[in-house]
Amino acid sequence: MSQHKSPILDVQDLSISVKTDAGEKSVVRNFAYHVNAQETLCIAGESGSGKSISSLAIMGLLPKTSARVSSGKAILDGTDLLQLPEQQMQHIRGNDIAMIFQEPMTSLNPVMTIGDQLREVLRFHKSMQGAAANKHALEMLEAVRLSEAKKRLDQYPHELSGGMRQRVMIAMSLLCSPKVLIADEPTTALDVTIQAQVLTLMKELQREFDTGLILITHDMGVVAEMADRVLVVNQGEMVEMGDVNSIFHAPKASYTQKLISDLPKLGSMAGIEPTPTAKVGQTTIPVLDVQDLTVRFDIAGGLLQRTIKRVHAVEKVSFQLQAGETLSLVGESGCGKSTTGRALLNLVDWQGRIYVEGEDLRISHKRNQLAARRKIQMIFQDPYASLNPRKTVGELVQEPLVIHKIGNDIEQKEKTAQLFERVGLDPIHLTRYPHEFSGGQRQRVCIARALALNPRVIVADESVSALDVTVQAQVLDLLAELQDELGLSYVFISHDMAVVEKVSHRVGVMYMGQIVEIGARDKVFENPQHAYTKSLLAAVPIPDPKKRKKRSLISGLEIPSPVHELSFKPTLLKLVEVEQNHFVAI
Amino acid sequence: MSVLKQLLARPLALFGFLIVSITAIFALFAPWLTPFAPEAQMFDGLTIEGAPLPPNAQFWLGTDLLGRDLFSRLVYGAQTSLIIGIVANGVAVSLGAFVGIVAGFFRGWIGTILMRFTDLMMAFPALLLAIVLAAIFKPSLWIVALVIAMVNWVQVARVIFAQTVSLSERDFIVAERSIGASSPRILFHHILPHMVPTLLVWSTLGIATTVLLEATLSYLGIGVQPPIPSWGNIIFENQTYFTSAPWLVFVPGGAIVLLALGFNLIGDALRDILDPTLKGKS
Repeated sequence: MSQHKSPILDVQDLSISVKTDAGEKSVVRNFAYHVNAQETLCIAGESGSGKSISSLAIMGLLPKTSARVSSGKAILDGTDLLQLPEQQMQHIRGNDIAMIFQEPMTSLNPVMTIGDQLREVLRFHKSMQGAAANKHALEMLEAVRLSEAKKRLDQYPHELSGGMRQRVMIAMSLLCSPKVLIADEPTTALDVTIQAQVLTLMKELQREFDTGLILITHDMGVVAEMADRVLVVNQGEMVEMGDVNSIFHAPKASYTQKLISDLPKLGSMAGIEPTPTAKVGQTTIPVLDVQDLTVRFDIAGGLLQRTIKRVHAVEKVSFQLQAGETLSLVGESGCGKSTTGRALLNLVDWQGRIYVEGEDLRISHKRNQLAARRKIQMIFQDPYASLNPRKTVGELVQEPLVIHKIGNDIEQKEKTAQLFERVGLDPIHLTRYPHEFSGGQRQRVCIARALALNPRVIVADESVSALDVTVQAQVLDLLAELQDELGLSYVFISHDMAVVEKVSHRVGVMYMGQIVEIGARDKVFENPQHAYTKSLLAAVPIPDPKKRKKRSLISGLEIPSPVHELSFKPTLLKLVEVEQNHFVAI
Repeated sequence: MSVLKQLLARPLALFGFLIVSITAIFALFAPWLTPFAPEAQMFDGLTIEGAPLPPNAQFWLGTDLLGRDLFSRLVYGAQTSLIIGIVANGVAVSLGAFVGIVAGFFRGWIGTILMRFTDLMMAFPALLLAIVLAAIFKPSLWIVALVIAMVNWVQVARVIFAQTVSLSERDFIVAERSIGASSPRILFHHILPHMVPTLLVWSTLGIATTVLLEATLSYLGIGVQPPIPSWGNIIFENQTYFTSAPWLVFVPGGAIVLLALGFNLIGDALRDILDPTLKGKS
């Protein structure tokens, strides 16, 4: 690589503090790092580590009213960026140093075409206009391998998919060939196959444009794929800095060691047979039997709000779930896995048949909706969003008992405290509000809430995706414990193959609303048959820098849209048993 | 009580509280606090030429064009203005909130009917509507309050509707459904509390507009009927004398501004105090 080169960006002794009601709080303490041309420095850390705010400081983008740099330098070409007035900084941002943000959805201006946004950068920094600007913008879109680049110039951001938008963001950031590119979680919001493409692209472009890349991420898999050097940060402190191989294979700091060991690794369960914790004497009736589940949403439009198009979210999905078993549904966004989960909770209109312990869910919902609800509960993805911020957690955990009129107030309060303790929280904190808890604790609150009604099945919809790795491991352990203890069955919905491998007994892979492969976990993971399963597995970043994959630069391979004309008849896939307990669509 | 205590601990809120309390005391004890009857036209209340008197030892805030004591009228006017402000605005905000929240939550045909009706009301010139309503009913203090409420609820409904729609899409509402919460429970237990900040702002801001609308109606002769004083009709009765007797307009005008400010300061503080998501933030 190019370690011998002198650093292009040198950050020295950077400290940042934010203003709070209780005075100034230091959030970044004495960060020091540098990045060379063509080199990738990964700043890895969990939420609250100061990894993002330190890069915002370098860009001069700290919110002026609430945060300030208390000490330090960021030297680019001999000038200290932190001392520059805003006027001069405007010329450096986007020109010498550029940034890519996490959310491609919100970091492009929705009312300007892609072309206008690219040309604006060129006009401002390079005084380039007209045909020349247009040509350069087009070249850049081609450089990021955006399909049909010419057409894209006239399109608006909403007409592009997430992966395409992130490509546009990258194109925009590279327009002026910056010396340093800061990418803040650039692929976190993307699906894993798209993530693989974007990462490969960034690497390629870095070489082409001779850029130093600072990649900020929480995902150690991404770190292993991308980094030359790694800086591990935690709670505003630098923990460890070193070469990527030494960080992964000989971490010195105990925090780094924990970070690496808590990492769910694909292949960690290889050769271990999945054994559900079914209890003796249990009947053979499956807890959940789903037959030909279909969910379609109508899209109304036109003057009379008639149905004009239809989303085929789930098409004839069938599966069974035994007591004490975990079935994972995996797939990328829009594949229908979440909708399947919501249908099980009767939160969307569905067709087909669902039997819960042999009872038809539709009939039991008609007879007694509350009683039917008790058997299946759900844990949502975002514990920040799925708890009402204006209620205390005590009220929230007790609420299911109140609604279902189980016991009197004193008994309910007792049960609430027990549940709280069961999920590893202190009942003293029952009077607190959700925002006073950390992400992992909030997810525990959600679990307590789901458990309140003694359900048989819990649908966990991306329930650990929003959590930091160490917290994620703890929550997964809790779920496993509860399964052993209560014989719970889980429908575990996730896009994270490594987590899925860790938790499930059986796995169903969904694509375009249908299951393309389903079977015992070891069989699906070790002997994937369907092309989609294979590509999904291949796209997962492996948290081991020695096992970096050679990837080809496929341009814009996207999942097709599930929105169809009304006359559309879906082609139904037929599942064939390739080996015992392993079905694949042909 | 702890809310009141927290309220009084904030200097700005305390100031607002004082303004509102003083106005309320004036309104309640008007007969004992005023030196003259509000309708009494005093012979010595006018100059020989028949012009109103500026503030002096006998008439603290001067007299109006009919020789009535402005201070007494202002104190009695506080009764009218407070009742109009609180009743009219209260009705408007409650009605608007109810319509908005129901339409936003259920949407479908209920929502369509309610919101189209709201739009219809909005498209109507407010004053014309008020004139029609006031002409149908015999003007009295309460009728005026209701007429004002009928005109003012639509904006509240629009704002609350938009907020409810976005709130209903949030995950925690889906989570409530998944534990079996009924629609009324979700509506009143989980969505309504989120509307508190908006409603407080509307309630406090609305008082000023309400008092002014009452003044407009009085001016057109369909508001509170003279000789009963209200802050609004004091201004409008005397506005022709604006250049020669400015106190007749500035004093009641200032009273309206102060009262609105008072309610506003209280509302602002209440919004923070009643927001549990700010609790424990450090």
